[in-house]
Amino acid sequence: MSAAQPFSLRAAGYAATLLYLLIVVFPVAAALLHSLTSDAGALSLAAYADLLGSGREWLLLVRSGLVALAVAAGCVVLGVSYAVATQALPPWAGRALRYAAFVPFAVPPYLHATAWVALAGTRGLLAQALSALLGRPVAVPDFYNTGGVIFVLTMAYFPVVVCATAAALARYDVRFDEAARFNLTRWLAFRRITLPLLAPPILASALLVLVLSLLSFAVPSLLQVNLYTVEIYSHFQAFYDMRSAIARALPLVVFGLAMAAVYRARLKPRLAWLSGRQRSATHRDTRATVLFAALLYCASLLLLAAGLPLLALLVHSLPLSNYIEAWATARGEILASLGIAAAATSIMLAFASFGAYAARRGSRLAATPHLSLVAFLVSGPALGIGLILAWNHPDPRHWVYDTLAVVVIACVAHYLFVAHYAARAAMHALHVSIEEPAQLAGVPWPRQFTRLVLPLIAPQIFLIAGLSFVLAFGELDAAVLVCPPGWTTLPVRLYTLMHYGPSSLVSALSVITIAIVLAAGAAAAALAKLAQGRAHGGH
Amino acid sequence: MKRILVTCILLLSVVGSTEQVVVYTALDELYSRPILDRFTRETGIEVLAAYDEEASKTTGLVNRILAERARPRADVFWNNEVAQTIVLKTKGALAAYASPAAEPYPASMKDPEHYWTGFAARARVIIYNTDLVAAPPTSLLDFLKPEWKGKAAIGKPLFGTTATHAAALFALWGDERANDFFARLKANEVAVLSGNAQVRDQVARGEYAVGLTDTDDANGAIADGLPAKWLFPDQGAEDMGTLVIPNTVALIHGGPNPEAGKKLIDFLLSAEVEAELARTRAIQIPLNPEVDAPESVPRLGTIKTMNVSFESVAGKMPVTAEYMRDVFLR
Repeated sequence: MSAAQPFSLRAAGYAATLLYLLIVVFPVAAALLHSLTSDAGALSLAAYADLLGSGREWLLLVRSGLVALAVAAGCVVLGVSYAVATQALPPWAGRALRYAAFVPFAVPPYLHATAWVALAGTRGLLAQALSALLGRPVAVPDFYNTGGVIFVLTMAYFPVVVCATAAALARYDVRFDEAARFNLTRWLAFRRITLPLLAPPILASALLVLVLSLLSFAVPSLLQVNLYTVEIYSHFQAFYDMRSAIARALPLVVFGLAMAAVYRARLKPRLAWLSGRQRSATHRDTRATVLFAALLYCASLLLLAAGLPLLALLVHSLPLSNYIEAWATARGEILASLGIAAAATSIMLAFASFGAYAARRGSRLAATPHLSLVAFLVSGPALGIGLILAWNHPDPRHWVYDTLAVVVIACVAHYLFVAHYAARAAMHALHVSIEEPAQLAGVPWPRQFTRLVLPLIAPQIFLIAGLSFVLAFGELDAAVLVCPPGWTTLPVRLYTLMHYGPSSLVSALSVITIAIVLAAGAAAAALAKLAQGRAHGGH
Repeated sequence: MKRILVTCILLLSVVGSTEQVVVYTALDELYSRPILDRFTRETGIEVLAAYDEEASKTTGLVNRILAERARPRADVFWNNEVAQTIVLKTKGALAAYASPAAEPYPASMKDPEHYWTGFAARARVIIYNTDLVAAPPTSLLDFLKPEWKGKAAIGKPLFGTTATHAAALFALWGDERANDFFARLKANEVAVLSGNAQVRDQVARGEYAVGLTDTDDANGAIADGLPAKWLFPDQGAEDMGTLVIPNTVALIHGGPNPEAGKKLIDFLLSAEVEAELARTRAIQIPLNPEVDAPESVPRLGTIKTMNVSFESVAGKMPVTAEYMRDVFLR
């Protein structure tokens, strides 16, 4: 890594760090400080003493952990099998199915829950259809329980494991298999060679699913299952106890950081074992039965995870006049959410890409992704409280708090870590020698950054933009607390309407939300593909 | 376009001729927005409204007001119930304002120190499916009977009027009897749904035979032609009466536009607004005897109301919330 740091780069690094501290660290610190003080302003650990003494809540945390573990296990089973199945198909088909696996992930989990209740609830479309067919009322399983939460979250998050497994398989050197098969049976070769090589990225994705499931609030709330995140919300909403709510968010932060530490210590070093050599297409099993079985499995899983819920929402949203009503009712919210997501995405990309570049050049910005992770792990209500405490002041800060800028900051603070880590990974893949000729020629660093580095990682940048947009567009928990009077975002509006029960308007708005998210994802993928073609000189 | 203009004004902190008032309102946007729009038309004062999230109802806005105490952003709090308004008063978040428009309202429905005034009330009622139920329960205590085991539904008792109702029972009966009631209610397999609207929907659909909800939600089922009816519980001579919960309006202490806030409060307490709310499908019960409401809207004088002070109800909110969380959340 180059040690040269021009003054202008250092200055830019300090400015970016200051801005980062204001946007990401300040609200989290304000929330933490609030939880450690009493109303009189004195140091107080009462909120934490209450937490430590509450056996019920630790049991609730364990229960939530078990639910998250079940989701992660389900995602590993489905995700790995899906990715392996796509490998058995012709490359174009496998690629298409892997892209299609993005659809369940792009749909916000709370819309999954809504769709499944509309489809398979006790009075859902399925129950109605069966009742009509059989001529009598049909009892269907109740979705409002822990099993429903596990099912919905598994359907929403298994694409994370698909993505990791597919990437791992693409970089798996088949010569390991070939060498192993000289002395080992197929099963032993798989157990001693293939599995240890593929396990690290799969386990890393499982850890991510574990954390996402543990942090999930909207799904357990909608399905009326009392998990730990719902408990945090209850302390805030029903007991007016902000300190207690913030204190209760800390175990989640500690757990998430522990998972990050496990990843860094045990899994990240082993990712390099996958050498990057592409798996040869000639190793695909081309028997018709295998092809058919793989296609059937992938199609069935996609139908279950995305097709049926989307179909339920579409059917429930008809007639088309509901879409006109939805647009008329929520036009302001849709445009506000688009604007907020676009602004937040731009800021996240700027921070993440510059931060990764500056860290590569030896800047102290290297530490920022870890702080971003804390902001992600803190619950939405805690982050919202922190934003109020940090920005609602009579000084010029109120220019931020009184406008949608505070919602943009909420999105950036909550999801910057995703962009951070992804940008660091993308930057890490570029060898430092790429910049050395430019440095030797005295090219200023901004020009190196914008004309050399960014174009080379443009495909990844577009994908990061797509993912950041999807996350920012769906921001709910913190936004509901800080949205200025006169403004509402689409997720907040939708979440509010959902609690009146599933209606055609809710379904129409849900379809609009999903369409926007999928369009953003598709646009990001298309731009990434285009950029990849240009980066490789059109080859 | 109007919102963008308002936002620019806020951004530049330009003190112009456009007067504004910021209101946090827990009443459904469907009903509150037309009234606020009319206020703007009649007075020229721009209204910036923040509506609550249905899942948590009033408590979300209450906590937001508390969190913003260092620099209140709202001028007026228009609550659709009363207990949490009183919580705000006890925490010093409200300012006293004796609105002249509050004069006609009953003393029991307004704060003696003028921190809040109640208007346009709802009642906690029993809703039942007319296809499934010939003889509906007439008392809350009937929900404990074996014939309603697994057939009754209530809203989540941590938020909204269900929480207020639970706290009222604690205040009326005392902790021991109330604990016993809710424990037996749970043992009788009462379903806890996410809110009053869901109770209405699922009773109307026949998923549950009976439920506990508010008059506005219950009337919605009838207005939609669904097979449901509702009644005021506990109206017998020896019974405890029905809990009537008013909307409340209060001035926020330290709000940015206090004079505009007072004008909005005066407007909301006018007979015209109560009459308008009574004419909606929410059939909010007028408390101002001068209000001319449709025949179908109940009048306060015809209901035997629960004899419990709102201050005592508010005082019971925290202990009730804790109990409900422990007993009813899965």
